[in-house]
Amino acid sequence: MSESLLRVRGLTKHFPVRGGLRRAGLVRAVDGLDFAVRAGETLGLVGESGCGKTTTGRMLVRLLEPTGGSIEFAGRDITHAGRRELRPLRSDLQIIFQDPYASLNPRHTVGRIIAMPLEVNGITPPGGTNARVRELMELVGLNPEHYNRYPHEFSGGQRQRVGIARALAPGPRLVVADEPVSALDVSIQAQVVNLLRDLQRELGLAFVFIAHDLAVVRHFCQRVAVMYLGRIVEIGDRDDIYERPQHPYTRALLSAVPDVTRLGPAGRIRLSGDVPTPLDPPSGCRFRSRCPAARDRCAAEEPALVRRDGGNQAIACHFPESGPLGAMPANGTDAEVPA
Amino acid sequence: MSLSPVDGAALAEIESGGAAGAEAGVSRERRIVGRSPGQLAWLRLRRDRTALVSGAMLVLFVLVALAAPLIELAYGIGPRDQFQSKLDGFGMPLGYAGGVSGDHFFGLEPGLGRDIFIRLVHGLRTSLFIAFAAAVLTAVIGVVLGTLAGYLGGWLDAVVNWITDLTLALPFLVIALALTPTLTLRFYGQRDAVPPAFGIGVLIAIFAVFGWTSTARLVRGQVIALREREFVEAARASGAGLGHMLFRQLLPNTWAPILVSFSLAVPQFITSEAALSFIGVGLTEETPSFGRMIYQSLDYLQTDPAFVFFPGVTIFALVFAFNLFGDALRDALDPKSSR
Amino acid sequence: MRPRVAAAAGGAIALLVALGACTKNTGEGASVDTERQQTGVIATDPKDSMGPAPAVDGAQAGGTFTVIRETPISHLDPQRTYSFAGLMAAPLFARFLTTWKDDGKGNLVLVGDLAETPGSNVNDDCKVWEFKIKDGVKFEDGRPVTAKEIAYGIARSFDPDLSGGPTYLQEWLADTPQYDTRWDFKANRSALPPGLTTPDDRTLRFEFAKPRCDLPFAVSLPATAPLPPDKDTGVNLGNAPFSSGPYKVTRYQAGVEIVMERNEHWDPDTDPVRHQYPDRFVWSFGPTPDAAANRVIADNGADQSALSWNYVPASLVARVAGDAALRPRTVLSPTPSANQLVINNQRVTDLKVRQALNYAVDREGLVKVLGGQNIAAPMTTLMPSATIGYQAYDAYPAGPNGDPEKARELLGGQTPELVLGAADSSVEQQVATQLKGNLERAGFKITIRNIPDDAKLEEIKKKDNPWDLYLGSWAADWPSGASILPVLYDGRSIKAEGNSNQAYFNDPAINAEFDRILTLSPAEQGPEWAKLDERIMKEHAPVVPLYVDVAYLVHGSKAGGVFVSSVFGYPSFVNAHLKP
Repeated sequence: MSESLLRVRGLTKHFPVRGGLRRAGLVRAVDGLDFAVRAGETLGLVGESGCGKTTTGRMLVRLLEPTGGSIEFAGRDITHAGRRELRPLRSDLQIIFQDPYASLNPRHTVGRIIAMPLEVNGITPPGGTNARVRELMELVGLNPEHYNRYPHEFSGGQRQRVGIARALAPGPRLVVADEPVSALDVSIQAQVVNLLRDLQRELGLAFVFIAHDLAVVRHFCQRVAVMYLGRIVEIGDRDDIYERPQHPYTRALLSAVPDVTRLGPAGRIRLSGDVPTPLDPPSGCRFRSRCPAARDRCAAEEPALVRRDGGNQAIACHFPESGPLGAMPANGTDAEVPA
Repeated sequence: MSLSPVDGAALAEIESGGAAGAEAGVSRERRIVGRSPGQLAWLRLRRDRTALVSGAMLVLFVLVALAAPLIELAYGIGPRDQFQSKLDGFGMPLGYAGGVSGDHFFGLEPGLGRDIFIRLVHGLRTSLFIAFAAAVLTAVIGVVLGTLAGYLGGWLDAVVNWITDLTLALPFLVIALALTPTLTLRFYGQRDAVPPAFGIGVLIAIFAVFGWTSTARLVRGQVIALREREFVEAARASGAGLGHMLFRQLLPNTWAPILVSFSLAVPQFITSEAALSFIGVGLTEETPSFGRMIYQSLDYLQTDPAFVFFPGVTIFALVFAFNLFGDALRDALDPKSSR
Repeated sequence: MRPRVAAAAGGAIALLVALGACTKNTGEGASVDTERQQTGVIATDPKDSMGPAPAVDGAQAGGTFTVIRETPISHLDPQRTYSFAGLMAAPLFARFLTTWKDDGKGNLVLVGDLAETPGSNVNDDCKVWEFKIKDGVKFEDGRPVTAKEIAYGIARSFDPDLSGGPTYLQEWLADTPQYDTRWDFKANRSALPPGLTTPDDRTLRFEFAKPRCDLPFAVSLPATAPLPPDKDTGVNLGNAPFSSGPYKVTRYQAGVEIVMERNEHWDPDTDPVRHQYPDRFVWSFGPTPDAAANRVIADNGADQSALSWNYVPASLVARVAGDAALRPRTVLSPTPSANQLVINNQRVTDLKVRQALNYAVDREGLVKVLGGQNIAAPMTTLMPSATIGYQAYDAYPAGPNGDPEKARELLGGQTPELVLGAADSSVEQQVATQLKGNLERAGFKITIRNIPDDAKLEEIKKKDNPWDLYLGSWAADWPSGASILPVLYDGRSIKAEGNSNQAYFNDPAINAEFDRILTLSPAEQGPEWAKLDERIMKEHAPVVPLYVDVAYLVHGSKAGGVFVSSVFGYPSFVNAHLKP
């Protein structure tokens, strides 16, 4: 659709596993993603660790090369574009990293760090680079006089702000935020999330917000996609997902959220078994091995991600559930959402 | 989160909120400038007494070496002047301690009767020049190859590794011995005078060709560790080219081990030059050489210990000072304290 | 290592070294008699050639005598022996046609060894020589030595595979330097080379095309050691020579050690010179001259019966000479090894330049560089003082320290540019530096070019070598001018490579003189050579004589009977014994 800023079709990333010289297997980290992000829209990408969301984020900014599928940004196919073709788009597409300690070059002043995307692309903003840096620092809530300081002189939260400022420096249209608050103290998390939300509104940025914390995602994102083992199992508007989840996995996830304002009746949905290995995912529906409602058809046929009656979101399930979350009898371990 | 104690006070200002305290804080903070990790290391070095003493000795040696012609002018005796009338029938220096006197500060060489002090000064100059030049060359070659191999990986890494292994396997001494007369013959035929600069150049070239491998390995290891860091990915995501990655992002983070390796390479080259001059590679008898003097003096340990003493103490002090300074440098640059 | 500890250790070492330096050197020591006159005669009385050799005072049988040397002996095979170590080791296990009676003080008598006399000049023209071989000389397996075995030994020296030894006999018998083209040993194993015959078991006969009056001297070399044909193991003979002397080789570890033990079949009554005091001789290779000297000086354990073969090195001479307690354990003697600054006469053609070079050299300073009077003695003649008939002279008297002004005067304002080729051994480098200093004082411009040490000798022996000056040395094979002057200065023998005439000097008048003097009897030759020596230097100055080597040896307290050979300048073992 021409209105989408970012359109992803069948995005796939397989990592070959080498046993010596032969290829012993294939890690299907991301296995056919479909989603779109419109200008100014925030899409959350959630799932447990290992589901492939970080890999997806890296592919969007072309730090990783997709094995299959396509990525379209502003109408142009950037799936396998070379460095030269990507050049004009670098300003429009930026990324914020997770680790505030590793994402800043310890030998550069923060001013230099923030200016890096400009320097790399040879952009001199009107008014000078320094003025822009100070402007950005103010925007993210840092003292602009500290542009000459080094990262080790800032706290974790402040460093993350620097990372945000860096991503904003070239004036992007879409920002991929890869777990931007996961490494921060809980008290700081809220500050930074609020900052991001203010920036998003002020600058009209589109976001792909990757996280595992459902509460944070709810606070920030307009739309949410739930990933499991390299696939999207449910995608839709935030309220639809949070209030009327249809996929058993989504329901399990939400039931596990320790939230003051309860989303559903007391009691967790426990999922049995461990997450299968992405080297050899289950046939048919990947979630069937842990799904409390799995039936024969689930093993035989892979469900497509489509809209069903009874909901606005798209889900990939043969037997979606409706209604508020209820306790389902099951044995086994909790579906812990690892922090 | 460790903060530099120096900036603790200023940091509190930042935490309490950017713009609010900025006005009042600016005038106070202007006096405190951000300290780079390099500057911090320098401060630590300055505080270390061992570093100061050994550093001062090194500076003294370098000054003496640089001022050799002036010293010769003031002293009045050149390195080739002979005083055989001050030797006895066996060619041993008359008087005390190998001929030490007001005219000859360190006495005379047995046999040829040349002044030891001025020969030491000139020899120091030659040795230091060779050692520094070789250390610089090996550092440059090692850094270039190590960085390229570490960052680009793949076939380039394999090729560089192969070249490194080959260089390490080459019989250094045999090649040096074989090459020198061939080169001399090639450039100067059989009858032309060979200028001392040629011998020096050959020696430096030999050191450079064989000595870069440890620096290369060191840098390669550093770069491999660094290239997965997120700040490197951030630069790549912004579209940084190879040049920017190498020079702006990676190298500034590798200079610490390079510097330490350099400071330890210099004394190694001094002793290597000594050994090689003794067996006739590179410097001829006419060029005053530290190394040749020491090796010749060892034979006279029983009969003219002063002849051993002066060059021996000098080289001991020189190498010792370098090693101490290198150790102090390594302590000062320790990454644990420059977070 | 903790800095303080290291600094303290370093300081302690430095202090110790410095303390050792605190005695004052006033410059005293022993001196060697370089002007002793060498006398040599050929024995006329047959009794001189008979054994047994007179007993050595205080010597008794038994014990192991050790000789320590840095480099191994290159050839034990008598027909291939030409190095000093080989020449001094050979008498232990081999006997020759003639040999020298040497009192170690310069008095030599040439006597018959295997032969009853030092040879009879059959027709008085020096072209035919006969030797009567003694009865009763036996090999190590008991079989007798006859003229046939001696002739076989000489014959096999024609084999190019067995080269390395002296070539006098081969060249004289074949009458050409290319002797192996005239007679092929390998094809004629059962025959003898032309001119060499054995009319009977006890007679050996030489017939030469030209007069060879030095034959009795030439056959004193190990080339005349006897060998039965069935014991000829070719190139392996050196590992286990077949002995005719008082000892036989019982163990040969190449490069490490050689052990020689008594040969029971050696009969002292047939031998005018050798003794058989020690039970065993051991040659031990490896230690540097410094290390060996220090060991022997320390005089511990087995080293008490040891001799260090290498001369005391320059760096230790002062210590050894200054220690009165060591005097009884040192041997000091001049040698016939002469050292010169050889001038390439093909390149340096101006006589004045060559004469100026002679004036410019500071011999006293050179001796200091070499390590003093116990190492070298200055020399101004072509023949060393150890030569029979020697007369001292100085053609270009420049005083002990040279005369640079006179040299400049001769050069007449010119500054000739000369290239000095020096081996890259430390001694030669120092000598070259010293000479360069001397010559440049006199107005020369000298460039020193280095030659790899192991290649140097070969390179200067090439006729077209690129240098103007180089250091050369020569030690005669027997103490007669005949083995010095014509060998070194007869220009007719110059060939493309392998030259002994490294000065590349060629003067027809001088060549004629060589021919003339060689026809004289040995007794008459002596003074004639001396006159010719002076004439060559005064008229042509083909080289700059520098110094003779002085032998300075040190041995353990129990090692006795050691003296320096007046012929070769190295230790002779014929009188060696162990003291209790």
